[in-house]
Amino acid sequence: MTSDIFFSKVTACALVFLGECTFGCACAAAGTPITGDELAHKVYFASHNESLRNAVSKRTDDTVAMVVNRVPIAMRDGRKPHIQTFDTYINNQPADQTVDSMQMAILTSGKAKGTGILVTRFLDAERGATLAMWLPALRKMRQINEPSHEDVWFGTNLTYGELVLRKPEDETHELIGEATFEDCLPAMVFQEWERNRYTELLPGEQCGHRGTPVYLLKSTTKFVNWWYDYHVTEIDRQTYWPYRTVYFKNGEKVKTVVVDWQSLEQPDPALGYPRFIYALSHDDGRDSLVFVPRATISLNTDTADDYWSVDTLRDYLKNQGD
Amino acid sequence: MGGRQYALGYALFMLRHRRVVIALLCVFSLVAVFYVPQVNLRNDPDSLLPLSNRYVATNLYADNHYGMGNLMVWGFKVKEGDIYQPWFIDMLVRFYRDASELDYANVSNFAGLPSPKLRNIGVDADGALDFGRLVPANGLSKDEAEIKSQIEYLRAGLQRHFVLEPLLLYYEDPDGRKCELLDGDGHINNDSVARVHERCTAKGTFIIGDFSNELKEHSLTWIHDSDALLERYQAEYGDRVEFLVSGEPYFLATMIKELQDKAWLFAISLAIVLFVLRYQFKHWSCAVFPLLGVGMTIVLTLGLMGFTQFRLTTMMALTPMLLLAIGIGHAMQITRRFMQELCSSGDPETAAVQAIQHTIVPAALSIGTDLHGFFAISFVDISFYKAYAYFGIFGMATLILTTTTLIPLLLVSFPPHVGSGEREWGWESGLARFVTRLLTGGWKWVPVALVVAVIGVSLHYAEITRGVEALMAGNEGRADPEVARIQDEFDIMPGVEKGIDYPRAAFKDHYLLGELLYGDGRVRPIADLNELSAMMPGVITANLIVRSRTGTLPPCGVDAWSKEGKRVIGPDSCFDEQEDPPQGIFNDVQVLSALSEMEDWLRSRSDIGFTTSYVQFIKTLNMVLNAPAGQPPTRHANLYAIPTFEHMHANMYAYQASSDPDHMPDPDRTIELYNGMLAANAGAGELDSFVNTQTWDEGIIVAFANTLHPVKTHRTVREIQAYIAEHKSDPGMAKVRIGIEGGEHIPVDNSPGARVVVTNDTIPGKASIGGFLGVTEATRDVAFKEWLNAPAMTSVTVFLMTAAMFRSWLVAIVLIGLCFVTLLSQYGLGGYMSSIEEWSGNLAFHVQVALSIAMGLGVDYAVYMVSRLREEMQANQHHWAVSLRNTVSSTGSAIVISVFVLLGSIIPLMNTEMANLWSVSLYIAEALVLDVLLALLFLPLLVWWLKPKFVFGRN
Repeated sequence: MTSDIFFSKVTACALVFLGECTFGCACAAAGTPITGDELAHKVYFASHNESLRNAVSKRTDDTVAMVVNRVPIAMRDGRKPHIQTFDTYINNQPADQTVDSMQMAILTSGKAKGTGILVTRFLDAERGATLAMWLPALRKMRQINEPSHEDVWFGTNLTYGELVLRKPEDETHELIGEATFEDCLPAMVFQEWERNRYTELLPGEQCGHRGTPVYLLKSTTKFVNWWYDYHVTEIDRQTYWPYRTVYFKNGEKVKTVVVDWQSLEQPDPALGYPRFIYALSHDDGRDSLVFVPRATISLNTDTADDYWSVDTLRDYLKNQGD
Repeated sequence: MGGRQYALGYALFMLRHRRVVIALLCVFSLVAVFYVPQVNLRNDPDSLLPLSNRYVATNLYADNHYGMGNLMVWGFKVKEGDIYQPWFIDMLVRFYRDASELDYANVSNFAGLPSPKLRNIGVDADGALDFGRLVPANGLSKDEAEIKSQIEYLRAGLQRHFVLEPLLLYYEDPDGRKCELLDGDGHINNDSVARVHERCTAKGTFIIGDFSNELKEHSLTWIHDSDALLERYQAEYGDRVEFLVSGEPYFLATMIKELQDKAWLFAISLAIVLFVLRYQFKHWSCAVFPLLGVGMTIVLTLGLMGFTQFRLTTMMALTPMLLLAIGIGHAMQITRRFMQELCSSGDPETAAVQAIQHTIVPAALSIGTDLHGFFAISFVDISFYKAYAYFGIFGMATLILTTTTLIPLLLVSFPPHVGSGEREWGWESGLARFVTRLLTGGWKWVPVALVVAVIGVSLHYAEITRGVEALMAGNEGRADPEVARIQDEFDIMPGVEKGIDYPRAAFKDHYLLGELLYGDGRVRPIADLNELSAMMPGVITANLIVRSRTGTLPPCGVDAWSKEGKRVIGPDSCFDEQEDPPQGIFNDVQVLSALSEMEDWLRSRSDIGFTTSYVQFIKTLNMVLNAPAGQPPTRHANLYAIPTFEHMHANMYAYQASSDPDHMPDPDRTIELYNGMLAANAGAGELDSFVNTQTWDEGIIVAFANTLHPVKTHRTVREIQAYIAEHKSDPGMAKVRIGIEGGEHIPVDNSPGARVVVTNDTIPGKASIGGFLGVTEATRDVAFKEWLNAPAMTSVTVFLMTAAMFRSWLVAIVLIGLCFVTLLSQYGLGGYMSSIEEWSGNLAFHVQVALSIAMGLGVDYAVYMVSRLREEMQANQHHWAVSLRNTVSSTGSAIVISVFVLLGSIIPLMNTEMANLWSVSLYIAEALVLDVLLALLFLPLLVWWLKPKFVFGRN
C-alpha cells in the first residue's frame, strides 16, 4: 500500500565510490599483530592505501568493469541480472595540497550512460568530501552531500559504510585465531536464462587462495541498533587482504562478502586490487558482484591533474568516441 | 406400501446388527477426532472469490508482482503536544524495529518515520543536495543538543516531503479537526502545506508494515506476537499515546483468535440443548443420546475438514452449529416417536423398530431437501460456498445414521424407565388444541394476515416498487444514473444493498457480551479502523495495474552476439539493455505524463484520499535535480512534475543549462536518465513495488480510498472506470491498458508450475481495479450474480425433490410457496439492515449463502408436517380436526422445541465480536423461525384449502 516513494539519494552517492574500493595496497607484513585493533588497522590500510599516484580502470575493447545486481530469489524468476558498466579514474596525489584525493567515475552503458561523478576528498578530516555529478540529459552539474554508513552502494547489497566510510575505530576488534583458508571464493552463478554476453565475461569461483594462512578477526560494531552485531573476517597473514567477511545479527549469518584480492604485479608484491567482490545476503538470497578486470587497469599514468574536472565528465563519452 | 416395507426391513436389519452399527459409528468418530485439530482455518479472503474474476485476478496479479498484499497499519496519536518530542520519536524507532522483527515481515516494504527510505529533500549548508535519513538509523542521540538538532532536521524534512508527509502524518487544528495537506483539487503545493504547518499541529503518525502470505498459515501465533507487541507499548506509553491498529492480517488473524477465545460459548450452547432435551423427554438418556448422535455427526464432519485440508474461513464455524440445530431437530423426531411407541408397547425393541420404520422415510426426505440447499450452492464458484456445500452435504447425510438410526438403537441398549401414563407434556396437547381451534375456526385469517404482513413489510424494505419502476422506465429513464444502474444490474430490489463493507462484514461495532462481561462492548478492530479512517488519507487500497498495449522485446541471450562481438540477433528481435534504446512505457514521457494527470484526477475525488506510484519518484527527482543550485528543491514545487516539453518551456528558468542556454533537455532522455539513476540507487528489487524494472513496461498506481460505504465504494469504482474509458485514446493513455483483461492466463502464485487461472469477462469494456477496493467491487459483482440465482437454483431442486418424494405437484407448490415467503422475508431483512446502514447485516455475498441453506433446511418442518398429516388422516378415517390436532401435538410440538434448540445453538454464533457469523446465523434463524410458524400455522390451512391427494387420498 504505501509507497516507497522515498527518494533517498541519487546515483552520485554510489557512483563515485566505484573507484573507492578498486585499488588497495598492503604494507608488507612485519610480524604477527599483537592485538585485534592492530590487525584491523593493517587491514584498513591494506584496503585503502593511496601510495599509487593515480589509477585508471577504463574499457578496452570488450573488457570493462561492471557491477551486477540480482533481486531476491523470490522475485528472480525470469528476471535478468542488472548490469552496469563503468570507468573510474583515481588521483591520489593531486597538486592541490589541501586535497587528499580526487576520483571520477562514469557510467558507460544503460539508461544513465554518461552520468559522471567527481569526488574530492580533503586532507582536513573535518571537511566532508564534495561530490559533483554530471547529468548528461539535463546537461547540468549538481552538488550532492555524502551518503551515510547504512546507505546502499550503487544498488548492491553492500553498504556505503562497508566499502568507504567505516574506520577501525567504529568497531572493537578481537583476534580470535589463525587458520588456513580452505575454500574457494564463490562468485555469481547464473541460470541459463540469466546469461548474456556480459555475464559471459564475469569470473567464476576463485580457488587460488586455498591454503593461504589467515587471521580470524572478530569485529563488533560500536553503533547501537545496527544492521549487524559483529563480523568475522579471514585476513591474509602476509598481505592483510580480507578475503571473506561474514556478518552476524542475533547470532545468525546475515551477509557474506568475499573479495578476490590479486596482486598488481608491482615492485611491492603486496600492492593489490580486488578483482571481484561478491556479496550474498542470506535472508533473501540477494547478491551483487563488482568485477574489475586487470586488463582495464592502468597505474601511475601521465594524466594531468586538471583531467579530474567537470569538463572531463561533460565530454567524456564524446571524447571516448561514443 | 413398498416404502413402508423397505423401512421395516431397514429397521429390523439395524436392530439385529445394532452392536456392530454402534461400534462402527464410534470407531469412525474416534478416527475423525484425530483429524479435527488439523482443520485448515486460514480465513484467507483471497480464497473466497473466484480467481477468474477480473477484479480478483488484478488483485492477485498485483500481489504476486508488486507485493504489499498483507498490510498492517499502526497509528500513534500523542495526547499532549506534537509528535516532535524525543521520547515519542524514541518510542517510534523502537516500535518500528520491533514490528520489523515480527514473523513474516517484509521489512523492505515497511514505511514510517524511522524507515531508511524516508529521506530529506533539501540542501545542506554548502548548498549541496542533502538526502540524509530523517531519523538516524540507530535512533536519536543521547546528547541533548544533538537530539534537538535531529528533531528539527526531522521536522523540516517532513514538512517539505510532498510524498510521505500526507501519508504518514496526521495534523489537527486547535478544535481537534483534521487538517488536509492536499488542496481541494487534490494537489499538494507550497501554499496547501504552508497553511497546515502554520495553523495545525502534527498529532499523529503511522507505521505501515507488509507481511508475507506465510502469515496466513500461522495466524494465531502471529496475532499473539502482534498483540503482545502493542500491549507492551500501551503499558509503557498508554498515558501519553493513543495506539491504533488495523490491517488485513490483523483482521483475519483476530477473527480466528476470537473464535478460539469464545469457544466456551459452544459449551453453553450444548448445555442449553441438553437441558431442553432433558425437559422435553424427562429422561437423561433421551437428552444425552440425541446429543451424542449429533455430536458424532459434528466430529465426523470436522474430521473430514481436517482430513481433506480444505482451506476454510471463520465462517465455517456455522457448519457445526447448523448440524447441531438441524440434527437435534431430527433427533427429537425419532426420540419422540420412540418414546411414544415405548409408552404404547412397553418393549424397547418394538419401539425402536416402529420409530425407525415411521421416521426413516420423512427423515430421509427432509434430509434430502436439506442437501438440496447445499447442493445448489456447490455450483457457485466461491470457495466458502463450496465448503459449506460439501461439508454440509456430508454432515446432513450422516444424520440418517447418527440420529434416526443410532438414537433408537442406543435407547434399546439403555432403555429409559417409563412410568405409567407418561405420554406428553400438557403444553403439547394444549398447543395442539389451540392450533386446531385457530385453524379450523374464524381466527384462521390471523395466520393469513400475518403472512400478508410479512410479505408487505419485506416488499417495503426491499423497495421492490422502486425497482420495478426503474426497470419499466426504459431508455428514457436512463438519464438517471440510479435507474440505469438498476436496469443494468436487474436490481429489482434496490433497497437491499448487496455490496459489502468488508470490515463491518467481519466485525460488529459493538457486541453484547462485551457490555455484559467487561462493561465495554466496543469492538477494537472496528473502533480503531474508524479512528484511523478519520486520521489517514485512506484506509483501503485501489490498485491500478498499468501495462503497455504493445509489450516489449525479450532480453537478449548469449546467442545475440557472435564470438567476434558482432550482433547477430538484431534490436528488432531482442533487447540489449546496455546497447539498445530503452524500451517500455515507463521510459515514455507521454505515458508518465498521462499517468500523472490520472493520479491528479484521482486525488481530486472526494472518496480518494491519496495516491502513490512510480510517477511520484520521477516528479520528486525532477524537482530535486532541476531546482536552482543551492536552493531548497521544495521551494520550487512547480517542478514537482513530469518533465514534458510543455512543462519545460513553462519553467525554462529551471531547465536551461547555464553553459548552453539554447539547450532544452529531451523529455524522453530525461526520463531515461531518471530511471537509470533511480534503478542504480535503489537496492535490487526496491523499486519493484511500483514498477517492473526488468521491462519498464508495467507498473502500479496505488490509490487510497477513504470510504468503506458499499454504495460509495461502488461509485468510486465506476468513476475510475469512466475516467479510463473517457481518456483511453488520449496521448499516453492510448499506449496503456489498465487492469487484467478477460481471457488472460494468470498464475495463482509465483512458484514454478503454479496453477494458472483464465480470467473471464463479467465487466466488458471496463477497467478492472485491484486492491481492497477491487475486491470489494468483485464481491459486489458476485453478490449481484448470486442474489437471485442461488435461491432460484435451490428452489428448483427443492421443488423437484418434494414433487418426487410426495408424488404431488400440488404439495410441492405449497412447500415451495412457503419457501418463497421465507425468502422474501430475508430480502426484507436485508432491506431493513440497508435502510439503517447496518453493514454487518446487509445482504452481502457471504450472507446470501444463508438464503439457500435456510430454504433447504426450512422446508424440513413442512415435510414432517405433511407426512404426519397424511399418516394421521389415514389413521383417523380422514377426520381433519383430529388429524391436525394429533399432528400438532406430536410433530408440531417437536418442531416448537426444535426452535428453542435452534436459538440455543446460535448463541455462540451471535455473541462473538464477529459479524459474519452473526449475520449469517441471524438470516438463517429468522428464516427457520418463520418456517416453523408457517409449517405450524399456515401450511395446514393451505393443505385444507387445496386438499392435495397426497394427504386426502384414500391410499
